[in-house]
Amino acid sequence: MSKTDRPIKEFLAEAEDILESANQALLALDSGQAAGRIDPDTVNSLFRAIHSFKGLAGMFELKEPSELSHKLEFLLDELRLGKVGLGREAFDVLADTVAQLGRLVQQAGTSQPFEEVTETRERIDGILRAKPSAAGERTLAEQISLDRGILQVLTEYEEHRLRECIREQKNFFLLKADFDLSDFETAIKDLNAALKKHGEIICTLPTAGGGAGISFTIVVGTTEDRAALAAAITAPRVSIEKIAYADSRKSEEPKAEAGALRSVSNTVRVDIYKLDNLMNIVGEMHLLKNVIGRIGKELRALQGFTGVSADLHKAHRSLERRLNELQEGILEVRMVPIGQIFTRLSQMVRKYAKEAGKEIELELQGEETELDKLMIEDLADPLMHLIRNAIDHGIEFPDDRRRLGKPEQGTVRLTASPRGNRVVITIEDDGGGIDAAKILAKGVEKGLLPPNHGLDLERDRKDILDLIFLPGFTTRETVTELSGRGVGMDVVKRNVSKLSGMIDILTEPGQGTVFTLTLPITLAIIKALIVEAGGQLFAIPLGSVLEILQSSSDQVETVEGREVMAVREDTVPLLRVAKVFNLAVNHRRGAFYVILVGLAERRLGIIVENLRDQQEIVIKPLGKRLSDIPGISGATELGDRKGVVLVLDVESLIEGTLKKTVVSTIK
Amino acid sequence: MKHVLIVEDSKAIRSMIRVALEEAGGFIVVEAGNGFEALKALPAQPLDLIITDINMPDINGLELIGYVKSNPAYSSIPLIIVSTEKSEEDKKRGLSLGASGYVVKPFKKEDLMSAVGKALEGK
Repeated sequence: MSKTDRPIKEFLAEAEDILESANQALLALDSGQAAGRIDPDTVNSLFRAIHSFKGLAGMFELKEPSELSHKLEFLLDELRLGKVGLGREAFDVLADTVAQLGRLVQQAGTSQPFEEVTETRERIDGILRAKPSAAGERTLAEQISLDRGILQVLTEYEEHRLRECIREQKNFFLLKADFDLSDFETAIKDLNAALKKHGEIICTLPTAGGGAGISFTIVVGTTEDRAALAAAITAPRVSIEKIAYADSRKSEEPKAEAGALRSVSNTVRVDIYKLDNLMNIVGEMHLLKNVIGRIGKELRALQGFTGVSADLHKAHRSLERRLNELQEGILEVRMVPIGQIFTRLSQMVRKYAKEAGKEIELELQGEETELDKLMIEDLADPLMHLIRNAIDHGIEFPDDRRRLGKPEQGTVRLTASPRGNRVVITIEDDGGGIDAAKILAKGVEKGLLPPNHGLDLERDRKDILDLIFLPGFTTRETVTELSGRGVGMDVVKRNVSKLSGMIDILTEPGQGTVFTLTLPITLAIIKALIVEAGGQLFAIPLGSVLEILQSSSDQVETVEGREVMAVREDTVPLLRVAKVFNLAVNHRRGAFYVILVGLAERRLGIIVENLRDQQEIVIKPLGKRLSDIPGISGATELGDRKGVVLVLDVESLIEGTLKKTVVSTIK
Repeated sequence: MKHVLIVEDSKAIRSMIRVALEEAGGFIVVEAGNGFEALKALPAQPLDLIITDINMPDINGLELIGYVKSNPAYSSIPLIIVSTEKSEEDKKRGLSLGASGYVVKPFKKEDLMSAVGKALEGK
């Protein structure tokens, strides 16, 4: 029976139905797992779905779907038989595999070649290898007084469920139900549905009834007693009989078994948004703390540092300490190791390398580095894109590498390391590097720069390389499958900026490229510098502040139309906050502060008139209509009657200065 | 003509078995999508052969075999199990319950037909 015998449409229709029910089972498992209660019936229905899928794919001789579902079926069988535990990892593998089966079905439908399934199969093998060894067990007949005729017809799975129910010391009942042959189907289904609400049906064994009737022998395991079960039954001809345990174990075991009912793990799974909410409350409490602090100050001004004002000061101090502890505690809960996405990424690297016809080794380092869970999720896409880029544009083909005297296998190294309140992630390849001259030429060609740009390859190398982050820039004539469909580096940069992160390139032609991402470990609550410019207050995330300088007008020079300042050996471009937001500048004696922000070679001096405070702030979004204002990442409250304060978006300010460099050169 | 009951919850596989039998010729096929339908189909006409899956909801293939073999009206009907190789233990149980043959999914038409031939001969 080959696939030419039967139209693929028949396969598609049924396969999609099966996967639909598999997905429903997965959803149920997911929420079940969250609640710490996995319904064996759901695992079994998932098993049955995949079992059917496998049979189906096999009959249509579809190699990959058949191989993969075979493997998945095996895993599910082990899961439902309790030979493998259903942990988070196993669940992820289940979900990913079912998703891949969905893609395979689509590929079959559109006559595309099937994607690689080896990786997924290996992941399943990984789960299977981790299984605990099964302990020897006594035969069922030794444990429970159940008719041998019934024990004989149990499938391996039903037998496993029976053992589980015995282990849980459930009560067993043997039900005998008689029905007329004409309408037994609805009747038995109704009966089973009613019983399932009160326990688990181990088996439904049909037996010949007298005359035109049919009987069913049903074995039910339940925590309820006979009366409760009997009350659930509405069918007229049903008898209930309690099945006894074969020996006296039941009476002595509950104590020993009680431990088994308790969960082994001490962890709880919490929705990240609940933590977000807690963090918001902490943020509000910080505001209140600040209010109390201000009241304390006013009180001290009135009556000096005595009595009530001294007490209030002390209380304020300890409130602050406790609040910080609370905040750290919540932050700690939100932190997860970045290794979570590294593993996902490494799986894709193999796939992409193969597609690109390149040999690539992925090196991972610093998987244990912790980051806010929400940030980790948002980082997956930019990292994926940078890695794809390294594979597609960076690493050369094996032949070319051999000619260049490099090992045929290229290396992509992904590292993460904590730096105080920040995490630095690097994506490094030992490929061909980025040619600044080509970037410059492309920039002109794409109209991002005029032909007479005046940029020098040596002097302005950094600015030229930064062109790749501008929208509409791509160096390849054809957008490859690999580097995504029209998604460019500008999107990567925007995503990183959204996380208040910065991205930096270091590249050496012929040697390779390093992208460095610097991110705060959390966005939930940050320390900020409160400054004054143009008569208004602004908050600058302290994480991006390098140093603060006191300065005056005579230290500012103008080079090619832009203000710069010498900071030790470097020349740093300057930006006047008041000017950016068109505020009236307060020219007080020409003295001001320069907040030096940025990292590595990309620095910017932000000119403000006054420094006010340093505070914990919770950044709130500005709402849809104001969300696209460049230079502002959000707003915050300070709790001192000053109302809302805007938070400066350092990354976009640096970028704006870069663009202005280009623009000013054009002029 | 031989009457064959196919008990299998996958419609596509059911119809493949039907096609295989009809192409070989000499069979009248009755289909059942689950154990309950099979129980209803049993008394509806005389049967010469039952081909059944093992893993099915509500009533599994083994329970069906147990029912057929313990019921004097049907106990002489030969049964063939069609299931996957993973169910080795279940296969053993099926054969010990009195099934005549076992075909592993996915199967070739020839394998199915040879099992059908043997089961009918042994009757």
